[in-house]
Amino acid sequence: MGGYATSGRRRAAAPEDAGAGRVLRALRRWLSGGRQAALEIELPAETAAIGALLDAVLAWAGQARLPAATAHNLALLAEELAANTVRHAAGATGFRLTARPVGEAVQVAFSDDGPPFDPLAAALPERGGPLEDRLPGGLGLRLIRRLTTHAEYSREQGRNRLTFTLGPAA
Amino acid sequence: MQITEIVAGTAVVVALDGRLDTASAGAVEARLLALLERGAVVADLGAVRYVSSAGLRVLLKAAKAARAAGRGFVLCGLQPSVRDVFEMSGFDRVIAAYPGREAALAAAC
Repeated sequence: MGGYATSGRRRAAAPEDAGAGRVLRALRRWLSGGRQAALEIELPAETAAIGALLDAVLAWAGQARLPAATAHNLALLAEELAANTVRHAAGATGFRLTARPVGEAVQVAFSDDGPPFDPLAAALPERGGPLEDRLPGGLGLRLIRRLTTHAEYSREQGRNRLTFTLGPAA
Repeated sequence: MQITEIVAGTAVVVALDGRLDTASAGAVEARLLALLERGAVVADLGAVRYVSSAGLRVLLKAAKAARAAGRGFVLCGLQPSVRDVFEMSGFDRVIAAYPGREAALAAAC
């Protein structure tokens, strides 16, 4: 527990070191003690926050003893979703991620205050042409659809909200 | 992300250690592109546990630059979780990856 708190402080300071120029808001709470503790983190919609998010997610995944593949996919999707918000959501000020272990799987919710965008319904770029001629635009969207189960999108109180489950099929 | 260069004949092995993600993508891209101006490059991902789509973009850019310059660019040492991302994204069909450095160097040169 002590190690977690220590590394949490170091991580929270990193974006300021990187010159983000804004106070980083990182809230992490143990919602219910012990192994089933949830992760809750809220960060500003800026590039420096993506690294902080990954640090927090991977540290939490270790604490929660998630299987390595599940932890990796959680990090991957967290980065994709946060990067989508930071790069493409005009006017978004922040995003929020919660993750809760359920057996070997994880239930995840991601929300932001950007314009309405449903990553489950968005059109994917064409996959035509030689692979090397297209940068993987839409790769994030593909990963979201490929890796998750029970994925649902909603627009609630001015926020995009995506919930999904990662890990071994329930 | 730590980036270490090891000269091997006319090629350079770039050993990456850390996460190849949004935060590190810029530095890795700059280094790979600079090295590819001089010769073949092997990117050793043996100590990379995590590659995001931002990381994949960097590797794809390097592969395209290598092709344009007629130089070799291959990978080695992919961890299982990283290999999964490669296969899922179809990158395994674009950029050659080898288990070890020696095979990668032989293929790159």
